[in-house]
Amino acid sequence: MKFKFYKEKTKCECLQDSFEDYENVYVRLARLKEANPVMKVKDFKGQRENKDAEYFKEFDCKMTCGYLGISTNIWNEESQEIVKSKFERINLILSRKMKKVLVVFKLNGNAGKFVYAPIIGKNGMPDDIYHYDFYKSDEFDFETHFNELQQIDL
Amino acid sequence: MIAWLKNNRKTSYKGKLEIVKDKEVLLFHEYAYLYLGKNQHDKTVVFSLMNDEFADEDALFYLTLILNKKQFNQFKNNELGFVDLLKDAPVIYVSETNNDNELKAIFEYDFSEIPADDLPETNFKYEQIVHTVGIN
Repeated sequence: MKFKFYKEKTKCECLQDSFEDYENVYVRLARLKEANPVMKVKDFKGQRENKDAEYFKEFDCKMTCGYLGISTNIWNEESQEIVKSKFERINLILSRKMKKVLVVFKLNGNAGKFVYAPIIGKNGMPDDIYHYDFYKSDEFDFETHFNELQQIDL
Repeated sequence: MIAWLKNNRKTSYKGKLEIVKDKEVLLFHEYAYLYLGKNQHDKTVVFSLMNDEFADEDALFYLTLILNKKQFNQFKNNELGFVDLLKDAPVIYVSETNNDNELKAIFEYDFSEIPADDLPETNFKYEQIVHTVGIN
């Protein structure tokens, strides 16, 4: 697998300690249209992956990699309740027109690599220990590699 | 841009809403959904994200309140929810920030002028947002 896309954006080693995972199930928070609630390519991208290399120069590597990777959470017996609770809290504060869903998915071979990226919250305590950033390989194709299993209303 | 925001409701923000110390992000996922801190007058400023549909354009819109000590304690002790605070506020600020939460513009409104669809889904309380994940 190649990751030229990210290498052109930053010199940071975002894929250090990365791994492939086509067995475990993950979730991604998505805002889908009520009339057509289908996860699309635009819902599976890094928060700032469209920014250019110049933009990332002002951030340290932790921030840069976080902005480039796609936020996901592992979804298993241990994590489900806590992960769902986090996203339910987000829904409490957002306006009613911004309904969100959790999209449960698996990936197919050569999609890319995950990096474990726990989020540290208030007072340095872990706020989300089930959080992973996903980096798409250059070969990533949404239709081929993304396997939606379920949508969970929040 | 949120459709109902009007240029003639823009206000100067120097020193008013800028957090200068004790910033705490209470809810974060890709960007800050709820955060607070002290302004230069030592008052607590709370920012609650209205929606994130503009996030890709480097623009986030927050309902923003300046709280005195009593109001902040009532919020922190769960005596008042965020919508209660909005209703009581003499002025509600709508802040536009970039994705790094640097203030770009501020608008002033009364509670009655904020469309219901842009108010938080619930009258959320502090304890509903702040929790700590147990780890072994």
